[in-house]
Amino acid sequence: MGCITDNRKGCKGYGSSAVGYWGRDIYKRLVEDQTVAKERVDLQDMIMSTGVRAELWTAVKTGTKCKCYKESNKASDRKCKSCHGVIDGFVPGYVKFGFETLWMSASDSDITLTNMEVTNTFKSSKAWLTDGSTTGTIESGDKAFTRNAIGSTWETDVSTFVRIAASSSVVVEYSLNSGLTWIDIAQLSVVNPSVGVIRFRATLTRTTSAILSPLFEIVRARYSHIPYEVNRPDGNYTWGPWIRVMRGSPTRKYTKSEYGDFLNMGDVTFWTTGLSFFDQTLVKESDQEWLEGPNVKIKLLDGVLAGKFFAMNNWQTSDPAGYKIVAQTFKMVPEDLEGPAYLIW
Amino acid sequence: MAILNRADRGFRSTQPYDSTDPPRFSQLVETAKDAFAYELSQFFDYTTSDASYKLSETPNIQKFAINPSGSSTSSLETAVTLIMANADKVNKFPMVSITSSSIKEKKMGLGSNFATTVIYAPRIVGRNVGPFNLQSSTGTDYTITLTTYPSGDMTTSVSSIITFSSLMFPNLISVTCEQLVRVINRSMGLYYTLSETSTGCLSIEAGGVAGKSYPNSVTITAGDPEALAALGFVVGDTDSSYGLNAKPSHRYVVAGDMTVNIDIITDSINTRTELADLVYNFFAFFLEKRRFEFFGRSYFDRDQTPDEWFHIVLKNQFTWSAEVAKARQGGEQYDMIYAMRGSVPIFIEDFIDRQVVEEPIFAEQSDIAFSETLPIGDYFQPNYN
Repeated sequence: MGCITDNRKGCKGYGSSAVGYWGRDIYKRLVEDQTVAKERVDLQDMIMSTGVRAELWTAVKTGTKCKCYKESNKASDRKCKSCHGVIDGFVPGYVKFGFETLWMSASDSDITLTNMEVTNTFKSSKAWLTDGSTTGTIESGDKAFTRNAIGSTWETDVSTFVRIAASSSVVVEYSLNSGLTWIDIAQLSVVNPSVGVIRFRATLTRTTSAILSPLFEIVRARYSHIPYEVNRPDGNYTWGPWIRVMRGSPTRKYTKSEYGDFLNMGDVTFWTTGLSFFDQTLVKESDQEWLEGPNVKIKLLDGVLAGKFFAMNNWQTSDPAGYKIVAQTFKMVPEDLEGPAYLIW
Repeated sequence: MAILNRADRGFRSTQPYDSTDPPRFSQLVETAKDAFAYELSQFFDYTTSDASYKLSETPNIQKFAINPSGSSTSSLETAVTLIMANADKVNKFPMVSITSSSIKEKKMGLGSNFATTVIYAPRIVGRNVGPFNLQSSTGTDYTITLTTYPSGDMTTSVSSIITFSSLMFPNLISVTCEQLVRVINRSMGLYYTLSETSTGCLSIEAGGVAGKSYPNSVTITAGDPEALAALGFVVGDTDSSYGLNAKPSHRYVVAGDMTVNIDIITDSINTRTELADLVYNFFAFFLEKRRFEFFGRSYFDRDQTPDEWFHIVLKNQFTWSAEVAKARQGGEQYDMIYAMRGSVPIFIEDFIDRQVVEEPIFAEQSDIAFSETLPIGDYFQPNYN
């Protein structure tokens, strides 16, 4: 009865006084048995066995604000390819999970404009030739990269707009030697450099200054830092730059509205585990594990809903005993086929 | 500095928004919606003739320009999609949508809807499309001569000579129909009126600033063969108020006070604000050059089939009302759809000319026999007390 009368932790005056019995502080039992971790592993096994692959995009939450951001509405342009209209309008908007993404946009702080200027005349903000100029460039600073994941190759995406195709053009290039030599951006995936620095340049030209200027918005390049590993019988890899999710069954209906007919799909519940399970560079049991909306999009790669975009609508996490994270559940709604999400790369 | 191009001012016809479904008489609601859709599309089209000063005065109209030149610009979000209700596609944003309207009948007279009697002036139409080569090969300006009856008594004729003078037309080798109309109507056209048909031919109507158009007739009586051939006339071409082409008609009218609702729908709150200002600007300012009126094509072209006599007058009480943020399908809460509803009170009238094919007096109808001998009965003269 000593521990009871002393009101020592573990006894609190209730029940047994057996030495070594942890029933009075179950947390210790959970920790010593790694119960939560086992639960997470159990769920991970479930995901890896029956989950479907999903590409994941999340918005950057720091950086340079896009030139299309407007204080009056506290919002950037939703269909901006530089920032995708994410919260606070940070460039480059959405980045793909598992990839290192490098870019040059008209809003960046490290660009050098020659005979060009940023214009807000168009939605969204872009760079074009100054009045009277027939050629001009926008050039970024050097950006370091290290590409060493198995199966990883460079991918590029260019957003330029030529209004008078017969007499104006935009050429986007990259340089691996700080601008000494330039190579067409389409060759980046062929050259597929592994380590070094890269910078981008766009050259806008028109035959006379009377012709409408072409426009440059953003160039993006990325490579996976998650190796493609473990073949599956269906030809896909088990591991790669994606997550795996389990999902509920969606409900769909067809409605007629004042503005037309369209297919309406209700929200779908997905769940997965902490993100460090899919990307070893993320710190386990940290905030990096967490998918926090609303700027989260996934695109399913498998199953009947393969190819469809979903936007996160609400989200919750399972963090028993403060363990980050055993599982996270989120409801997602399908994006309209021509909605802003389809500008995400 | 903003410029005032007076050539773009004045009344113009409103083209059909859908060429396969042009305005029809009494379709007031559909006609008004189509007119708004067409005129708005013209406002947002930077390829139109008045684009330069629209763009200079409201620079952000570029990003809402319709008809982007080439598919590569579609991602610019430059296209304003103008739709009627029930579009087939839900997501063509930003969008200006003429969605609904309410109408209240407005009677334009007492009792009947009859407005006036109508008969077109006699006219002859050239068979060739301009421009025309009216350059004289003899050194003497070409002329054509025509006869009309400007006093309207059909007995006192006047012979008029139209001279295609190099003093007036520096380039007589290629004179457009429009040039002929503008110059000759304002110089020598006292008893006749030239106009250009919708097909580009020259029309000569009887009646002018010094002559009645009814009753009248017009006849080509002489002319240099080269000039006649160029214009597509032959000596003897004629038309009169009593000829086979004369179609005396009664004109009837329907009218109403209407409110057309216009929605702007965008997927960006920034766009909604800017587009709302532009649409307001269109109704409150840019339509001033059109005197805030829309006209059907028949006011400017008598060859329309069927006639388009609608006339819309804006009441200059444009209103933007509720702003709406609507969740997308499934209740998505971040990528909202932002809309705003505006209303445009208008007056609309539409006329129809109904050709009179039977006399209204029963005794002159074709199924009644005429006779000098009256049967027994009460008549004014024989047995009037």
